[in-house]
Amino acid sequence: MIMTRRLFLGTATAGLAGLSGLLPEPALAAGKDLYAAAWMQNGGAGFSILDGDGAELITVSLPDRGHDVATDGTGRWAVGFARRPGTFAVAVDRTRDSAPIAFSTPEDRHFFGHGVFSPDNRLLYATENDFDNAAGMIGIYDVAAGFSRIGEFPSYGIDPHELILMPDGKTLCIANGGIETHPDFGRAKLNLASMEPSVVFVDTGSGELLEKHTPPPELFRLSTRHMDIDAQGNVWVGCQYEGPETDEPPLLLRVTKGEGYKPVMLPDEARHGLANYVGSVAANRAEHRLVITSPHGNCALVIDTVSGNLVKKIEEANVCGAAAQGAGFLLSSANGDFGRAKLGRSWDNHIARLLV
Amino acid sequence: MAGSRDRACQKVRPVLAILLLMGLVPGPAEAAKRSTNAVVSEIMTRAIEDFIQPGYARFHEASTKLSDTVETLCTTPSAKNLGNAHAAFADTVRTWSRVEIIRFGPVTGENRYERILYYPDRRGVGLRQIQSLTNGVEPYPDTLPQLERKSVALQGLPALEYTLYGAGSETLTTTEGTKRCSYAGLVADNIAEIAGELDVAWANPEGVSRLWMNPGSDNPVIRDNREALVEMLGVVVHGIEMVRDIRLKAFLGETPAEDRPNVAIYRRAGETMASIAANLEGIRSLFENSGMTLVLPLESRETGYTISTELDEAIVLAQSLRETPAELLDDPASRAQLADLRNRLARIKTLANQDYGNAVGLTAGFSFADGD
Repeated sequence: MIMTRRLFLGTATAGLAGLSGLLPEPALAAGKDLYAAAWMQNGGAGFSILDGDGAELITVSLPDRGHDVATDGTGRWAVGFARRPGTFAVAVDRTRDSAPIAFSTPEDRHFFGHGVFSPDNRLLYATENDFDNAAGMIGIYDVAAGFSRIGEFPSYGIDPHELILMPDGKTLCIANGGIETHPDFGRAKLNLASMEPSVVFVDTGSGELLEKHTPPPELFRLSTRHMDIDAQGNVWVGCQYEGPETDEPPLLLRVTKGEGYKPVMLPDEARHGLANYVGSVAANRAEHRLVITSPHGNCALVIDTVSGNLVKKIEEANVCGAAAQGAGFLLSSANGDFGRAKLGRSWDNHIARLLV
Repeated sequence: MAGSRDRACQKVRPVLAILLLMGLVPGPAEAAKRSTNAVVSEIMTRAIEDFIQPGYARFHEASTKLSDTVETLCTTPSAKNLGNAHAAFADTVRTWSRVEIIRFGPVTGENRYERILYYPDRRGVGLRQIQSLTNGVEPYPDTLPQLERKSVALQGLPALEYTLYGAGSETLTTTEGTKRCSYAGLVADNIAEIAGELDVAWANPEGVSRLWMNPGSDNPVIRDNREALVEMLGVVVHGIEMVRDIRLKAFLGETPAEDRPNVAIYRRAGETMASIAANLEGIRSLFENSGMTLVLPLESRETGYTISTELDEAIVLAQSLRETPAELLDDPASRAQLADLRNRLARIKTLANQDYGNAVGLTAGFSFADGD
C-alpha cells in the first residue's frame, strides 16, 4: 500500500506562513517514474507527486490555483508555481520529512506559472511579469537559501511563459507570449492589437540576449507559449492564436538555435482539431516523438520529431497535461484523467516528470 | 424577482414547445447528453438572430448617425450642433456597449475591436497620442487611410470622446476648431465603417452566421454543439469578468485611497455607468434571448433563472448610479453601491462559470480551460 504524504500551507494566503500538517513519510515507489502536476478540486488547489499509475505519493495544498511544477535534476525538489497573476510558489523536498518552503515574487512582479532549475540544481529560474513596465523578467532563486530571490534578468519580451534549459546547460530558451497583462485588470489581455510574441535564447551567466526570433508581421497574434526540446536540440513551440477563429495559423513551430524557426505543417483536419490553441508540449526524446495537446479541441497530436509528420491523433475531453512515459506519453485532463487512472481532481495544464 | 423569471420562462417557451414535440425534453441522463443538437443549434441561431445581428445593426445605425452629426458640426460649428454630436456619441457608446461582449467572429479580425475601443489605456499612451494631435505637436491625419495607419488609440471611441469633450473641445463651436473637428469626423467615419463591416458580415446568411449556426465536423470554427455552447457560455463569463475587472475595478479601488476616477471609461462624456449598464444588458439579452437556461437539466434550471434575476438586479443598480465616477466615489453611500455591484458581478460569474458550467458537463467550470 502506498501512503500519501499530505503537506498543507495552513495560512498560506496570509503571507504564505504557517506551514504545518505532515503525515507519515510515504513509501515511495523506488525505481518508478514519478510525475508532478497541479490541480483544483472542489474549490481547493494543490499539486501532487504521483507515480505513473496515478497513485498520489505526496500532495501539497496551495493557496490558489497552480500551473506547472518545476523539478530539479536529482528528483529532490518539486516547485509548484501559481498561475498568473499569482505570486506564490511552494517547494517540496521529496527526500525529507520537512515542511514545504513557500516563497513569492517581489511586490512588483508575479509569476507566469513556469520555472526551470540550473544544471547544478542550485538555482531556480522563473518566468515573471514586471507588470508596471510591461516587461518580462526571469527571477533567480537560490535553492540552498530557502529559495530566496537573488536576482533577475530580462526575458527580452512581454509575457514570458514556459522556459527550458538548452543542452549546453547555460542557455535558456524562453517563449515570450507577447500578451500584456496587469494584475489591476485580472487576466485581461491588454494589447491584442500590438502583441509582440518571440522566442529568445538568453545566456544565464550574463543575462544577455543571444538570439531573438519573432513571427512575421501577419502572425503577430500568434502567442508562443509552451515548449520542449527534442533529441537533436530543436525546440518545439506550441502556440495559441488570438486572431479570428477562421484564420489558420501554424500552431507548432520548430526553433533551432542559430537558425530561427520554421512552422510545422500539420494536416488540415489535425490542425482544425487544435481549435487554434496548444496548451502543452512534451517530448519523448528516446522515441523521437512529441505530443501537443489542446483542451479546447479535446485532442492530442503525436508528432515524429525527425520527419515532422503527424503520427496519430488522440481524442480525449479536456486533455492538456502531457509528459513522456515509457515509449509513449502520459496525459491528464481537467476531467480527472491521469493516464489510465481517474481521480477526482481537475488537472491543470502540465505534467512534470521527476528525474529519479 | 419573479418578473425576470417569468420573462426568462417566456423566452424559452417556444423552444420548449418544439422540444416537447420532438421528445427532446431532457430527462435524468448525464448532463453533457442533455445538450442535444437541436437545443444547442437553436441557442446559436437565437443568439445570432435575436442578439448579434440586431446588435451590430443598431451600432451601425447609431455610428452612421454620429458620423453625419459630426459632419454637420464641422460644416456649421455651434453649441447646439456640438450638443447633437454629444447625444449621438452617447447613443453610439450605448449601442456598442451592448454588443461589445461578442469577442468572436469578424470583430477579432483586422484589429476591429481595438480600433473601435482602445481601453484600458493603462499607461496613458493613447491619451498622450491624442493630446499630441490636439496640442499641435503632431499633424492631424487628413484622410481615412491615413487615420487607419495610425495607432489604434487614435481611431475609435476614446479618441473621439477626448476630441468632443476633452480640453479644448469648446473650440468645436467655432471655426477655431476646424482641424480638430475634421479629425473628429474622420474618427466617426472610421467607427461607422467598421460598424458597417460587422453588420454586413453577420447579416450575410452565407457568411459567418452560417458557420456559427451550423456546427459540424467539417466546420472550421464550431465542430460540435458542445463547442457552440461553450462559446456562448464564454460570452457570458468573459463579459461579466470584463465589466467587473476592466470597467468597474478600473476606477473602484479596494479602499477609497485606491480609487482612480480619472481612468474610468467614457468619464468625460459622463457615460461610464450607462456603458456598464449597457454591457450588462447585452449579457442578459444574449443569455435570455438565446434560451441558455433551456439546455440545463431540469434539476439545474434554477441556476439559469438565478442568473437572469441577478443580472436584472445588477442592471437596475448600475442604471441607478447616474453621477460621474468622481461623484460616485466621493459619496460613501454611492461608493458602497459600486462595491455592491462589484460583489454582485462576482456572484454572477460564479453562477455562470461554476454552477452553469458544471450543469452542462464542464466539471471544472468554464474558466478552467482559459488560456495560459
